[in-house]
Amino acid sequence: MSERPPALHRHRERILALAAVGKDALSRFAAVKEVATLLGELILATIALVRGRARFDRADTWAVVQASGASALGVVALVNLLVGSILAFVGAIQLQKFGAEMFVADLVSIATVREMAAVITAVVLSGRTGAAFAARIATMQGNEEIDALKTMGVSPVEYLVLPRVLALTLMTPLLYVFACGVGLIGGWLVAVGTLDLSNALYWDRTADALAGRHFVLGALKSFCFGALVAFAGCYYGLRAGRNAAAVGEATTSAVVSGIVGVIVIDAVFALCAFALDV
Amino acid sequence: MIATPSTEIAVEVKDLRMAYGKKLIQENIGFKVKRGSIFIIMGGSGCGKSTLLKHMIGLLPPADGQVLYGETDYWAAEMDAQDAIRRRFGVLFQGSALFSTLTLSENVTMPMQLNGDAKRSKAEHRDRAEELLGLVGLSHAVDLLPNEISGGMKKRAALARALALDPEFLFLDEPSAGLDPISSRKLDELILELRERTKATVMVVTHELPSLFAIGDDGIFLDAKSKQPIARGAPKALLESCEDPFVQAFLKREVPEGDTDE
Repeated sequence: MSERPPALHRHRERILALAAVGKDALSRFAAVKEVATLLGELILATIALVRGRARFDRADTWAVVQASGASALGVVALVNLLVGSILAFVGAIQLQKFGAEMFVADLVSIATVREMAAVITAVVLSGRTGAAFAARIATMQGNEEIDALKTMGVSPVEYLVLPRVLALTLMTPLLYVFACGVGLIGGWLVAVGTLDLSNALYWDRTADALAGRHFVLGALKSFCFGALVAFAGCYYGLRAGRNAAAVGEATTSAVVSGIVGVIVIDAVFALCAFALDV
Repeated sequence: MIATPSTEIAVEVKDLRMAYGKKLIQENIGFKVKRGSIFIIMGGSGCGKSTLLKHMIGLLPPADGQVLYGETDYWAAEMDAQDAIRRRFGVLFQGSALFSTLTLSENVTMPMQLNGDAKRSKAEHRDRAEELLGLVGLSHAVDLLPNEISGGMKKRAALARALALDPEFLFLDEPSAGLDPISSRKLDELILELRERTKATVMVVTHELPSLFAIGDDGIFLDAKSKQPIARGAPKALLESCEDPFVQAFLKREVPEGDTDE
């Protein structure tokens, strides 16, 4: 049987535990300060852009727009088609029990347009584009390319972060619209294929169920998701260390933060929509 | 042949203290660099040479002290004044820091375009980039990407980029690190030639003995143990007259007496 530790030892353990909590709190506070600083610099860079004074490579910006927009169409289509189909399957099984299978169209359309298209697209973009942003910027950090930019008198936020945040913020709502279309088609394929619903009935129910406010809510969310995913990718890229492992760490952190952030923002939107009866 | 530098002071470092958080790297650093000279920052690995260079080029604020360009203290100056000073810099980074997605020509053109060199058209920027790449012996590689060339070529391309804005101050961080002896010698000769042509004040971080003897007019020796400079002067003069046993051992490539490798 082990003896009880002496009082001094217990006191030391308490102090150490307290010190660990303090250190953790300080590092979190430092991280919040870093995020606020980057956000402030990004706002200043946006103002510089509006005034035509921002310095960045337009060709590179178009490449980012293409990579985060058009090049993502395939994976966004595939994932949203499957999610639309899954919604229809789940809905069909439950609604058939009540003889209400025609309402599958309502379920798929509202769930897709209000929630799933925006969230799933943002999650895909976080794993794809946010990770790519973090990896690219972290690699530049390791190769001293960021330092080279600074010594040229160019702000890395203007040159690297601003184009990426703008590109993804503008592209995500467009991808959301595309995702809505594909998601609805996924639901339609399953509903018409497994239930005795006609094409006309499915699309009539869809048109009846959807309202402009659903699209506005989804588009607004995807706008915020795009900004968040791009910001997380750039933030973790810029704060990356200069060793080989840093790129992997930055990428992982960007993806995890992006996905968690998307879910949190979605929850906030859900609460607001409920409170405002949207 | 090394030209005689002017007596005018181009850069002065005063009472500089370098630290990462609470960890002291170096303190009591002070020196003056004459205009047109080649100043060597010497010392063993991990003594803070590159950190000192970062303080001088505006990448990292020091814990304390001043870095003066003319009368202006860089770290106490307004942002606009800092920008104006930085535009007079050309920097060669240890790892070259070429932009991997750009060709060598685009890499050299970039500082001109980003710093609003509106007097020149795009074609003129390109011509100037080709001229600079020619100067460092890379005329044949203007359209290659950094990953298509050797380490020595990368260093030379980065040197061409550092010269893009006709800098008054040229900072070179370990220019010959990782190069074979012949490439290293060629780079030294190129640095001397460029100093002659451009009249720039050159500050070099290195611990490559042949390089520092070949190009250094003056220098400072940082010591990791005492965390302060232990010698000042031209590398050749230090070899002849410095009495510090560690400096002598370093410059003669010997193991100092009593070194327990701790």
